[in-house]
Amino acid sequence: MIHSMSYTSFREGGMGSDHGRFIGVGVAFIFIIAALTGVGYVLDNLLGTLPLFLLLGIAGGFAASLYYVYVQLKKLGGS
Amino acid sequence: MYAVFVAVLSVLISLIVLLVYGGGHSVALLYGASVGILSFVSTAFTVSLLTGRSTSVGMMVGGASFAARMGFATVALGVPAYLDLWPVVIMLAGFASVYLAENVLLVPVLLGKSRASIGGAQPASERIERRTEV
Repeated sequence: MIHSMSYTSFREGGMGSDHGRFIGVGVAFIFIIAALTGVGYVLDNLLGTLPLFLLLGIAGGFAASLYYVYVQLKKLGGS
Repeated sequence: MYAVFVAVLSVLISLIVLLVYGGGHSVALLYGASVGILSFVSTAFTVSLLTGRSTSVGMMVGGASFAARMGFATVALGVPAYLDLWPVVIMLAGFASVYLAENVLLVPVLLGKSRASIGGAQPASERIERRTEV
């Protein structure tokens, strides 16, 4: 019974649901930056161009994750 | 729109720097300005997200984006400075000048808007008084 109530409140978009989504967005934000930075670092090591792609990865990762957060929070806001 | 304007302006300035000081200084200025523009655009995104939201959500998003922005600026400017890739001062000048340029561009707009909103209430000397006799 308790399980089914909490599941219902989660599905209906209660407080827990919002917090879960925010945590997911935050984790994805960090992951996108880390992933693109890592890709840049690997590319630099392969091509011997350190730190060109590393810096591009940091900047591109920040821009991409910012856009991701923007889109996700717009969706959460319902607009 | 202002970010695009500042980006074009920074490219033009870095071209001038390229002619005067050479490639290293020009790249440093352009890179610093690019980081500044990204940082400034993220501020604009945050502000647009915060409008019409509850205080707790707004505080969360604002705090997280502030920390992320500072972290990004630290890493993006710190890595080239640590590796001694190009002149640090001119890179920081490019970064800071974006904020300066955006403020110079935006302050007249904000002043105009605030004046327009206050302008609804005209000074007493300019008001036309209409009275009707019943």
